[in-house]
Amino acid sequence: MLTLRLDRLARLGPLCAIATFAVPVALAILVNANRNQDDVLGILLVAAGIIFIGSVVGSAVSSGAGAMLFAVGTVLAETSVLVMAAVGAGLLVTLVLHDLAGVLHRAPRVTRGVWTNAAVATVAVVATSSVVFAASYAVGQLATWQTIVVPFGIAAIGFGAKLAADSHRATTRQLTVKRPSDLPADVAEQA
Amino acid sequence: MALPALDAMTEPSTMVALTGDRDLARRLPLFDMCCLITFAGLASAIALRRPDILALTTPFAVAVAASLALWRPVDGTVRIHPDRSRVVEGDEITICVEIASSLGISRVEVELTPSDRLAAIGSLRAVTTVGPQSTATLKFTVRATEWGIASVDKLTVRVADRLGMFGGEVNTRADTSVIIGLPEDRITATLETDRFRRIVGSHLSSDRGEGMEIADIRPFQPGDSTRHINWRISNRRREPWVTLRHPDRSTTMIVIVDAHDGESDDQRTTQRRSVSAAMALSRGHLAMHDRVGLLVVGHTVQWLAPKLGRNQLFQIADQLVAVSNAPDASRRMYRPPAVSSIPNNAIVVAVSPLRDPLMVSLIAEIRSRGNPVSVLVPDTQTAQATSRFAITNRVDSQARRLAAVEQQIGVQSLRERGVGIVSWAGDEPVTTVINQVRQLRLAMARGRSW
Repeated sequence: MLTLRLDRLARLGPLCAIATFAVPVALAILVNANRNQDDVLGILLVAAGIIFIGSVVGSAVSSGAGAMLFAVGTVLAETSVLVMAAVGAGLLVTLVLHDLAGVLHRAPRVTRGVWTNAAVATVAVVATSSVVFAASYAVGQLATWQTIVVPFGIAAIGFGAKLAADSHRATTRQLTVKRPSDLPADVAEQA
Repeated sequence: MALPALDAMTEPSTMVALTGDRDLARRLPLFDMCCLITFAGLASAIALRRPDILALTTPFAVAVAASLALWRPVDGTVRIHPDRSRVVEGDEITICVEIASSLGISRVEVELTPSDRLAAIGSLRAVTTVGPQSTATLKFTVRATEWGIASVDKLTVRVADRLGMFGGEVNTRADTSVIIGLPEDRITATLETDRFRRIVGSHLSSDRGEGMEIADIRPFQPGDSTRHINWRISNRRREPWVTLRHPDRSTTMIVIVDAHDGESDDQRTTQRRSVSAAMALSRGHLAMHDRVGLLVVGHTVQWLAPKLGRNQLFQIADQLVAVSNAPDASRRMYRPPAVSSIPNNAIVVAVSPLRDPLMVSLIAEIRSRGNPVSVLVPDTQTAQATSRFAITNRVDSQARRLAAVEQQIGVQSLRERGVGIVSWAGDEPVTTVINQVRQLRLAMARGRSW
């Protein structure tokens, strides 16, 4: 019986909500240990608290604001690039956990595929972003390219996002367009 | 009303199409926040001339780009159906939800909101994934807590992509309903006939008489009615022959149920007991090959002409279950046209609290046509006693007293017309009270013969 209850607890949304506090706290400790400038632990813990509250109340805006505050604190701490990359990945994981905390509230039954899908997608995104950032950062460190690559890289990312958004919008329109068979007979004839 | 024979039939189901639903192709808040973080990071990196800031925001940018690139329109159907359409109160029902998709759905959440007569056993929410060209089946268990017609009031389907950035929610009503019968329905009760049946039992008698079943054929004898001549045999034998038949021992029973409002607790209890008694009588008399008819008088008039057989029992059970879903009392009808269809020789048993003078007049009218009529009056004293501490005012108590006086006048007038009235206490079983009706009818028959 105890095993069964623990098993249920492990599936519950509250556990994910607690994880959205535990992960940023761990990141805060990591940042604090590697900081070069001001003591920003207070900012980071406040940010972790905001993320946790956002997860508990189911507000993505609150959790997102907390993540942004956490990122600001990390920037102010003047840590190494590796730590910043770890913080970025950790914040993404935190937001994914926030999403799962909302989905798993009131203890639904969850199949293994849900966990697997979320884990695979998150790991894939983190791995891809690490590779992308490592490549662009290495190129950006070259003195010759530094002033050129960063703005163009940013523009390229923005352009890629725009293309993807356009593609998404076009697919949505295609999906929801009124077909002649859905229209009344007289309207369909005119069409 | 538990009719397992019908369970083998195909259960009704509700299908919800997810394909082409615009509500399932919406941006979720997580997408907006990731976009905001990405663009804030980019702006900061440009403004501060610090490309290392991008280390913080690149995962969010990649997540946004990946979700946009990998997004596909939701394609699939959801089918919901219970494993049984007829159960008895207290039984458990498994509600199956099948989600089929040709492209696959990364995350689909299903939530059921059943009606009041169904109680959840465990969670009625489940989250699962559906692979391409496959079907995921979710099973939810509920318990039938109260007799009547129950259904799933709301089916909520929430869909999201792998990263939870696109998706939406669809709410729909499941049209499939479950008929919940009373556990007391297994009780069988019958009344004696005072004029029509001379023996008790369902076996065919060896006596000859006026009936439908052919017993024998013999040559015509003096005294035989010419109506019984079998012309075919007579023609072949060149002399008159007659057909002898078994006497028709079966009778006709009409059960009248007063489907009064079921809003308050005592009314619902009374309704439940009325239906229970009606079902017991119908079951018992149909088992004895009697014809049984049903007249439900309330918000609508339901009339089932007297018939034989198991099919009639199913029909009666369905009509009685529908009594529990009476919407209101504003459309009550007390002059049902079916009154003229009641055979003159039918035994009539009404189950009614006799609170309404119009119901009393209806019973009196049937009695005036010559039918033997008995009335079971479910007693509501217990229910009133429990509500003794409820806040009441003087007008309410006076109205109750007036209603009680009116009821007594109605009961008295029916007794004077020769209607057998038996009061039914709350803790009394159905069989006991029907035995009382039987004894009362026998006593009244003896009184008439003297």
